[in-house]
Order: sequence, then C-alpha cells, then structure tokens
Amino acid sequence: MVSVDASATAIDGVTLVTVSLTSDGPARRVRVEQRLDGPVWPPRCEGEPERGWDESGYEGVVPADGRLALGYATPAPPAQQPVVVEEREVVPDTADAAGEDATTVLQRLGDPSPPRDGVPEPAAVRADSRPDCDTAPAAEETPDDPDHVPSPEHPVRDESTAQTVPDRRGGSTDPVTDWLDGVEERVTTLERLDAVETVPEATTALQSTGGLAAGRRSARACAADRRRLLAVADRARRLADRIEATDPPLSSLERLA
Amino acid sequence: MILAVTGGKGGVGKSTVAYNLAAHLDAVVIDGDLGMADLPADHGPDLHDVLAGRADPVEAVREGPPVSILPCGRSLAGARAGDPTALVAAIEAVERAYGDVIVDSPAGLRADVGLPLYVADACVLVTTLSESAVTDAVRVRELARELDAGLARVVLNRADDGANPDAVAATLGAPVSTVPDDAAVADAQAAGQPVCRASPGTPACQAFRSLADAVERVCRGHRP
Repeated sequence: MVSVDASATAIDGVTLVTVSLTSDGPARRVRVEQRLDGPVWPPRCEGEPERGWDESGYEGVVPADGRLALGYATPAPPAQQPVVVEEREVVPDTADAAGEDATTVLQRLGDPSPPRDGVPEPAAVRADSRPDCDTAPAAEETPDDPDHVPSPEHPVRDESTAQTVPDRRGGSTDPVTDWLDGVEERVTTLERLDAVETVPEATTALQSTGGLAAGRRSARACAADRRRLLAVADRARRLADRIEATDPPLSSLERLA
Repeated sequence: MILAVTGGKGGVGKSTVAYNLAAHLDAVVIDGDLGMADLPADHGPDLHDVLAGRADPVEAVREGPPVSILPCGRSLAGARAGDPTALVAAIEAVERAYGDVIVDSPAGLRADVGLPLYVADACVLVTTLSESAVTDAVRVRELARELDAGLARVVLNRADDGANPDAVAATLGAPVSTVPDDAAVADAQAAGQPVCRASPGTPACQAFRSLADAVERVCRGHRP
C-alpha cells in the first residue's frame, strides 16, 4: 500500500508540486499523473528530464517500507489534488542510492590510493617513520644520507615499518626485495650504457633505456643507490659481527630456569 | 549526523570550513584526505592505520579542545596500505561513539570523495567565486545527489565585498553562506585554533557561526 501526500504552491506564476509517496509494504512501481490543467515541467539534469519523467508525469519505484519524494513545476494553477497515483506491480527492492555499497562506489569512481610507483622506496619509507619526521613530507627526507640508516644507537620507532605497511595490491610484500630489484634494474641500465663502443650501439642502447635524460636519471639514482647500499652493507656487517661475538650459555640458562 | 565537507576543487578552503564547523557543532572532524592530509596531526594512530586495520577508529580520535580530530597520515605508503572502503565503517564507528561527525573530503571526484558522500546524511559544498571552483562544485553536487547526500549548504569562501552569492546560489541550486576574506582565518590557522576561539567577534567568526546555525537547522531532521 502506497500513501500519497501531495501539495501545490503557486510562486510567481509557476506552480510547484511536491509529492511524497510512502510504502508500508514491498517495493512497488507507481505512475504519478498530473491532474492540473497544464504540462509537467520535470526536474532536469544537463537539460534533459531526469529518469522516470515524461510530459504527463513520472513513473518509478517506491522502495519497500520507504519513501519516494518527487517535485516538479507546471504553469497550471494549483488545485487541492495536483496528482493521481496509480499503483502498479511489486518489484524486487532496490535500496536507495541505486543499491550501491562502498565497494561499488570505489569501483565506479576509482581507487584514490597513490600508484605503487609513487610510493617512496623502503629507505625513504623507513626514514618517514621516524617519530621526529612524521609531519615532514617524504620528499624532503634525505635518504641518500647514510645517517638515515637506522643504527643500533638510534633505533627507529618501528624498524619493521615496511613490514607493517604491507602493500595490499599483489606483487612482492617485501620492500627490501623490491628496493634491491629496483637497484638491480637501474644498474643493468647503466651497465648497458657503459658497454657501448660504437655510435650505432650507443643509439640502440639509448633507445632501449629510454633516452639520454633517462640515462642521466639512472646514473644519478645509481650514485644514491651506491651510498645507500654501502651504508646498509656496513650495518649488516656490524650486526653479523655482533651475532658472531655472542655465545649465550643457553643450556646453563635452561637449567637455571 | 555525518556531514561531508566537499567541493571538488583544491584550495577552496574545505579543511578550514570543516574544522570551524566542527568547532561550532561540537563534532569530530575526520581528515578524509587520504593522500594529502591538511588538518593538524600529532604522533599516534591515524586514519591510515585505521584503514589498514592497525587501529580502532574511535581510539584514533584526538579529543578536543579545541576540536576533536581523527587525523590522517601523510605518507604515501600509508595512503596505499589501507583499504579505502574501510572509511565507511570508520566514519560510522566514530559517529556511534561521538554523535556528530564532519568529514573533510579531498579534492577531485574519486572514491575518497564519493565514500564520505555515500555514508553522509548531508554535505556542505565549499567554493570560491572562481569559475573553475564553481564548475567543480557543480560536479560534486551531482555526485552527492547520486549518492543521496542532501546539500545542506553552499559555502562561498573568501568572498570579498563585491561577491554576489545569488549567482552562486542560482548555479548550485542551494542557499549560500559567505565567509569573508578575513585575515583572522589565517591567524587562527597559524595558531591552530578555530577562528572564533582565536579571533572572536571578527566577521569570519560571525560567518562560521551563522553557517553552523544554518547547517544545524537543515540537518536537525537527520539526527537520530
């Protein structure tokens, strides 16, 4: 059963009609016909009547136990009952907002997350996680600086930030591997350019590596990579040395426990 | 009540409006700009952590005064790590705990703009007089309409004396509140305070107060 609440108000020679349809049962298709003596001026979007409207009224669905609100204008003078509503067949319920949920909104409008290539490499991510760097943009970090490699004396808040920020979009979830793979790619580019001996070889190499500007970028990136790699290697060696220097008396400790 | 402060174009003052509205309505403001957060943040769990499932949305709220905020992280890795659709449940959880929520939406028309509109009871559209800002506002208004977020108010921000709000109201089809181009806004921002706390009695403070009154009048019907 659909109940109807309609009114018509004349403003500046135009009659504005509001219709509120309320259903206390299943979703039902309805036809709303103009009873006033004049054409229907329907709501428009981009100059076109909105969906469901035609020259004599509206056809649409009142949601189950829900409400459908309509409004239109007409040059006809107002009257007590501006519309007549005809109830038609029961239809499967489609919730409001066209039955959308968060996932369909995401699919329709596009994922706003930054692209994978736009996310700083692990060294920069790690620097970004330092408590005193939280509000600084990652771009202002100086990941080239070997001091940014966390040292045992200056531990970062969460040394495994990279692991606690897993990439949810497939591929490797190990940023260290990603970083090393990236370095390897850049080194390969540089080696390819380094190996050329003749002009045709140079032309082919530049074409395959993206041109001279890309070559320059690779060279600059590799210089930074080298500093970072040496800093990481240095720390790795010190950690390995510390492991080697320890020999905890575990069996004695077990007995004591 | 969940209110999305949106507008399409960047730099029109969405965050300023959201923050000051939250101050007047005693609401929690959620920084929904997942890629380029604007609202003040400190250390601790933020919206990125919430969307990645590492923090509870209610526990991530920094309670005021002056304004309760659920801040957003600023790292790109954080923006990529979270599930944007989790924003809906997070906003609803904060609403259940605190009552009124204002979501400061980012620029653009992607899902980070659509999801707050999807979950919101109503929206406030912020624009300046520039043609590009009004054009973008029209686009977001269409999206808000599709996603069932009623337009509570249009804010014409940084309006000088000659600004004609009627033209904007006619274009966007909703009543307009103007916020003047007042140095008090920048001063308050620098002080990390709502305008009416930093500079009470200024034209900008009065504008935000009357905007909040208007929004409250329109949205009262949405209150549970």
